[in-house]
Amino acid sequence: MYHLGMKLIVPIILGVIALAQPTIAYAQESTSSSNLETNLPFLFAVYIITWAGFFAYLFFISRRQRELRNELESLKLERLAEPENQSDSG
Amino acid sequence: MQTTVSTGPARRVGRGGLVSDGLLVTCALLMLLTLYLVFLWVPTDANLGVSQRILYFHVPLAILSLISIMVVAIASAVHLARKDEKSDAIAYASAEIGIVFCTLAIVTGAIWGKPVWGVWWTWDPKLTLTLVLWFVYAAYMMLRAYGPKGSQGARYGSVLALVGAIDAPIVYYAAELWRSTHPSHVIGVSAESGSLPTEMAIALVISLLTFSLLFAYLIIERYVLRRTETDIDELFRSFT
Repeated sequence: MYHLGMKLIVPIILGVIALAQPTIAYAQESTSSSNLETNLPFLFAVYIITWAGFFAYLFFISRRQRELRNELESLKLERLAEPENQSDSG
Repeated sequence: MQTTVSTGPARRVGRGGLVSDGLLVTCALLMLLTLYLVFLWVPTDANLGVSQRILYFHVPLAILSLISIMVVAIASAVHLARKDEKSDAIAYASAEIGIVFCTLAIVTGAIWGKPVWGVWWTWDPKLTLTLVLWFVYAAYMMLRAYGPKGSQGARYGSVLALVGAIDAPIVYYAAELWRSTHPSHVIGVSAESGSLPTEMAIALVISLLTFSLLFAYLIIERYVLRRTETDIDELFRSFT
């Protein structure tokens, strides 16, 4: 999931940038009032914050997966060490 | 004698499998389509200008934050009735994703409010009740994190979720129930016909579908992760 997510992030960001460029021109052409154009920063703030929020959450999930994998590895090592300890004491 | 250790749980650590991967790919493709529709296809609103395009992200986020608390409540009711861990894991996963969606809905709403209303925040019924919903999610997460562990914590959380979910339908109908500065529904059964031009409605529906798939993907991933967390906790407890 993590690797697939990372592979998808780059094309999505590039897609957003590619789509955003003509949008600015389109928005400027289609609105006559300068007041409407001043709202562009608000629009981009929304899209950036939403993406940042989701990527931060995905990052949190992937980090938690890594932690769990490490915990599982340590449990495996403990389990493997158990019979050796028993045979030493025996 | 050679000791063998099962690698079963390792294979499923935080992995939702093929369904989850398929959802992610579909969601990514639909997201590109949504961005195309939102930025290049739909016309710019004559009154609100480009800031109206915020609606295509804000509305799905807000709707899914309401759906999320309903999922938490239903899963919690099932958990209380059957005492199974699966439904509790669904409730927990949905609550965690719900708080992400609710936070983003409030933030995007505030950013929409500034150019349109001139203020970031107003104590409008719909906004205030959405903030209450955010506190319900926060209370649930805090209870699960710092409250009693195990089945007792799950039970307390379930009761809180059932009480908190009452807020969801009130938030949904707040603009209709009270005099609200927040716009009324633009899609759905209670929306007035023609309240949104066809092109805008299509873009909004596709955006809602995209975010719904993202929501489903996140639920699956978080559910599997939650189950693994519980399994590992039990393993640790069995060792000590």
